[in-house]
This record gives sequence, structure tokens and C-alpha cells, in this order.
Amino acid sequence: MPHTKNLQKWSHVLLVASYACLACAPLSVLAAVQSDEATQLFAGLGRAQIAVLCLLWLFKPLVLMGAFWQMTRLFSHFKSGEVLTEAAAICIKRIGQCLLGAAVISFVTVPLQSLLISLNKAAGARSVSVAISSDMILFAMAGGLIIVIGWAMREAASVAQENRAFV
Amino acid sequence: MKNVEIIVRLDVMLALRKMKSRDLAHAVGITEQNISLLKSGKVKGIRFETLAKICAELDCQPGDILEAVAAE
Repeated sequence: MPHTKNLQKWSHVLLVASYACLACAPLSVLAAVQSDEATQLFAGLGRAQIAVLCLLWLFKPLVLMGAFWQMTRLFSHFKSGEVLTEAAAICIKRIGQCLLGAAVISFVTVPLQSLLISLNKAAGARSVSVAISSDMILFAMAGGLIIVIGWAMREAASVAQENRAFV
Repeated sequence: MKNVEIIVRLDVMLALRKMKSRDLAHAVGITEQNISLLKSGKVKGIRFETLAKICAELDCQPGDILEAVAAE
């Protein structure tokens, strides 16, 4: 295969990058919780509210960490030359599911977050905001696309498996 | 429809030509393991390209290597 060398070389680079992202994700959550913006947001909130808010903030990074974990597995497969395999196809599909999940979580957490923050306000001043950002659309589209590629890869893997049974 | 299975007679042809599997594998450009799988019939199929090379090497026809027999 003419592209095998390139595939293995770049898979190695991306494997290292995926591990780096996996390690940085929890740090980004810590940084977000300790930022000035968060401190201002937490002012006037009860302990339970802050705890729930932090939990809400934790969901998306956790799902993204799942995606990075699947990426490390995928690039390990690619690095060792296992390209058209069932295992690689499953990894691709799971990465897509994680990205789609991140978009859904973003969409759901915004109303919950706004509700939590305004819960202590007087009746009538409470609010729920719903928002769709370009990030959510991008994550959803990328997730959907990668899931479909995962399904296609699975088909390709089964064809490759059959081809390997030919001498 | 009658059930028929394909039997590989490569070992017979190799014996007739007094050729070793290793030599055939080397001449055809496939691994000894694949020749062994082919001999034991543990493959799903054989490419025309491989069959042509084997026939050329053993100086025979595809029918000398493959035989259709009624399945039990």
C-alpha cells in the first residue's frame, strides 16, 4: 500500500497528541472552575448549587476524554498497520458517538446551568436560557460524519477480511 | 440443485511434478503458509492470478488442481 508509511508516521504523531489532550482535559476543567468568571458565577450560590454546576461542567470534558481515549486506541491500531479492521471501525464509530454526545451535552447543560444560577432569585426573575452555538453544530456534524465513516469502515473491514481469505 | 464442493489437488500435482511446496511458493511469490492453506483447502478462494502462476509453474491446467465433487 502506497500510503501505509505516511499513515503509520502520522498515526504516531496523532497518538502522542491524543495522549497529550487526554492529560490536558482534566487540567482545563480545573482551570475553568478556578477562573475569575467561575468565581463571579459562584457568588451567591449555595454549596449544592455549586456542586451541581461543577458536575454539569464535568460532563462534556468527560465525554471528550472518552473521544481522546478512543483516538489513542485508533491511532495505536493504525500505527501497528491494522487499518481495515473491525477494532479500528469500532473506535471510529465511538469517537463519533462521543463528539455527538458532547454536542447534546452542551445543548442540555446551558438551560440547566441558567436555571441553577437563577434559582436563588425572586420568583419572576428566574430564567431558563436555551442556546445553540456554532460549536454545538460543528460537534454534532463532525460526530454524525464520523459515525457514518465508522459504519463504512466496518463494511470495508468485512470486505478486507474476506479478501484476506483469498490466496 | 446438487451440492458440489471444490477440492484442491495441489498436493497430487506437486507429487507428480516432484516439487516441494517451498519451491512452488517461491516461484509463485506467495508464502509457504498460503500454499499449505491452499493444499488443505482452508481458503475461501484463489485469485486467477495465483492460479495462473501455479499452472504455469506446474505446467498443468486449472482442472488438474481443482476438482468439483458432490458434497456428502
